Amino acid sequence: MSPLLLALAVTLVKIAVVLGAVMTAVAMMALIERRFAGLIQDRPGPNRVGPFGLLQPVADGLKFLFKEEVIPDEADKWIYLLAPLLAFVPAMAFFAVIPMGTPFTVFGIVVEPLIAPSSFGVLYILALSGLSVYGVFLAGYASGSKYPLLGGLRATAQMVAYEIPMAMALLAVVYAARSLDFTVIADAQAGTWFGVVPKWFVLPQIIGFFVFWVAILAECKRLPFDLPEAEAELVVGFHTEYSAMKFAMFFMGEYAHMIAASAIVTLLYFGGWHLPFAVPGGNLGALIAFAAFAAKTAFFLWLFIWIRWTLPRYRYDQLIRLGWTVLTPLAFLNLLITLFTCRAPGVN
Amino acid sequence: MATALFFAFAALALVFGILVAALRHPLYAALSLVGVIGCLSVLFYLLGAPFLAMVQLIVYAGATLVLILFVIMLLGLRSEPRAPEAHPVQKGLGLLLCLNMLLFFLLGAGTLVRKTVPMTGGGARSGVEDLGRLLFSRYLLPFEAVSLLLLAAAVGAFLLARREWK
Repeated sequence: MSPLLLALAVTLVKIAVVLGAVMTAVAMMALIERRFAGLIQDRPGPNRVGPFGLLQPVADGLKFLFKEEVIPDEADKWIYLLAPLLAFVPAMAFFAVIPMGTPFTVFGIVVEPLIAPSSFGVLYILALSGLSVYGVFLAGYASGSKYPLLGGLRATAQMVAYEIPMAMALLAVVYAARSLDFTVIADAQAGTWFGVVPKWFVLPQIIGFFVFWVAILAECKRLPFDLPEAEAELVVGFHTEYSAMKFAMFFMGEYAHMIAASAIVTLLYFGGWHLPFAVPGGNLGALIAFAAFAAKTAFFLWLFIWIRWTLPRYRYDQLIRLGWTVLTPLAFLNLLITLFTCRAPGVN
Repeated sequence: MATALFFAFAALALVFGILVAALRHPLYAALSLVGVIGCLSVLFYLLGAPFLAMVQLIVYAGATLVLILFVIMLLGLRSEPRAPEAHPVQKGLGLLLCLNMLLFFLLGAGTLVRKTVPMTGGGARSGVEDLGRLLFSRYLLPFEAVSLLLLAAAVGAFLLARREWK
């Protein structure tokens, strides 16, 4: 087999594996979210379908598939149909540049656990994050109904506002690692201070991490910032008029976005797959690295759920004020601290 | 492969560009502009400038166009009324200008084709380092002047908006 065909085949297999894994994780998250909500509210949660309710996502999926597809009379038909795709596709496309561990060897081929190695992964993430506004926005517009319209407007203003502190926090990490490549950023956090404390960016950039995490909660439209879908005011906001599989697309997009966000936080601030102690080399080391990465990502997914079922919702003016007058100055402060504490690039 | 993709996306960019001008509904026109920007971003990437490609998406598609769409949605614009019929002299002048532009671009493209740059796809280098070095050495003064201009524009916009509720 020629090298080009081989590379193509390897990439296609990677895409299939990553898509499958993410879709499975999305289905599991839908279940875990409800089970965890049950735990916090002292009730069982969905536990009827299969052992521990494990088959609940399958039942949900089948239900979505067989429900009637409704298109409202007042809807702008083409944009109405386009919006769920625009919400789902960018969320899945995040995973193209997210490295998930160290290279391993299969059948004599060295495989990097990353679909598209690129020197500008951070920029790609920012671009997709900007594009993910469109799905929500167009859904709100095209539904031809007032609640989705209000939800769409809220979501757009919120996502544009919180992109600024998010990008500023990212800039500090990029400066500290001197790269826009996620693999290089993760490798810059290898090793320890005094032999025990891991060299993760979360320690020198604790403010940056806080800002980034809060901004991500807003970008993913999760509580306490789920104003676009505040059910007490807007039914469910931008996807009020969507049913069946089109609703499921928004739903899956939201969870995929959360998984990508957790993986990105892990890579930027928690050392990616690096552990504060030495791991063996070879395929065993790659397996441990992947397990470490997956465990850290799972922790942040759990944090998403924990925050959702613990904190009440913000008011909309509070949300916007928090973004512009608290998080943005804090992100700049973090950037200044980083500029003064890190050595300048090229002065190694 | 890269060349075929380049021409495919160039053609798509043209189609979206025509749609921006041809569609009457402001929302559809703005969405077509997003399409143009997406195609241009792909072209930048194929020409070995991935940094420009990403910035194109972040700045134009992610911020500028979102604001334009936001205004369209806030004002609740549905469809633009038909423009009044233009004067024959206006039509003639417009056509002449269009032909002039077409000629200009054809000649310009003719000279460009002779200096073709190989399409690299820009996998290994993002071009950020080169761009940064140029911006902070050779083009430092224009770069700072442009940022000053943007600051002035921002202050001006703020002042204009503020006068309303003084």
